[in-house]
Amino acid sequence: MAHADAATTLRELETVRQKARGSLNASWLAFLIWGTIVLASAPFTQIGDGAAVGVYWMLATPLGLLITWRAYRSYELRIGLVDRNERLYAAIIATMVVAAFVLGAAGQGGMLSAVGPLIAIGVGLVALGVVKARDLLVAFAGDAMIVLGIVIAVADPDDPALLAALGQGAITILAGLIALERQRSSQRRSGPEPAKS
Amino acid sequence: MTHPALKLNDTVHQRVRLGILAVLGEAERADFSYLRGALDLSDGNLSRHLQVLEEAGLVQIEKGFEGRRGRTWVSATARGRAALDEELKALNELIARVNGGG
Repeated sequence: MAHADAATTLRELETVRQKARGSLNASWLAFLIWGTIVLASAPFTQIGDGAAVGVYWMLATPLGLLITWRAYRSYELRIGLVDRNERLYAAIIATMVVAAFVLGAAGQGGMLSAVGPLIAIGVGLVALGVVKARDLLVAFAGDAMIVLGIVIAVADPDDPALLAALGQGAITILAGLIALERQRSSQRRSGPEPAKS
Repeated sequence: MTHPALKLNDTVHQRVRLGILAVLGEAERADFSYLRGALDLSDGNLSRHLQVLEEAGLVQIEKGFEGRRGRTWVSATARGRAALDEELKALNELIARVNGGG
């Protein structure tokens, strides 16, 4: 086999693999679902001593996980490609959401309740970005949340919970919209790669 | 030392079959339509190559139904994944050897 043939074959294979990875990379789904859930929590931060937002998260956490799982499953079935790392991603997402919930509850409506979940989700997203290896957007969104959490903790504003909910929701939805547009433009760019015999 | 070209597996090395294994290497499983679209193949061509890969024990094919519609899922076996890795390694060695003048 000639050197040029080997190089061409490897290039073609990489294109096919990138396309498959691009199809599987639907982080926008989770971003948009959780961004909406987080933003919807904002009004609850204004009710009472934090009990209302606690109840909200007690209901929203399992529901959000279920919706995310169903949405991914339905997306995979629609495109006809199932991710091989699905269980690993699910474990990371479940861990970060549960950690966020536990920290939120442990803070009893104080600063830890506002900043703890933000940082837990941020760290989880950085971990996801690293595990997915090619998803810098996920890691950047995580970094942005960690920075926001630190800024809120240092600035100590009057209403840290509201700021955290609005800031995290905005970052998450923005990342979701960028991820969705990124996937669409990647699909527009890459036509089917011929690999005919 | 064996020349890398001799390490290429005839079953795997064929371009379409290599393409199929490359897609399956990224996923747990892919359906027939996805493979057909991603590799720009006809139904008959894809079926023929899948049959070769299945007979070699490199892929597993599951036929099922979604409602009334038939759906065929294909996944790489452990042997198929190993064969793909070996093939990629051999191709890279071949390139490195030529680039190195060996």
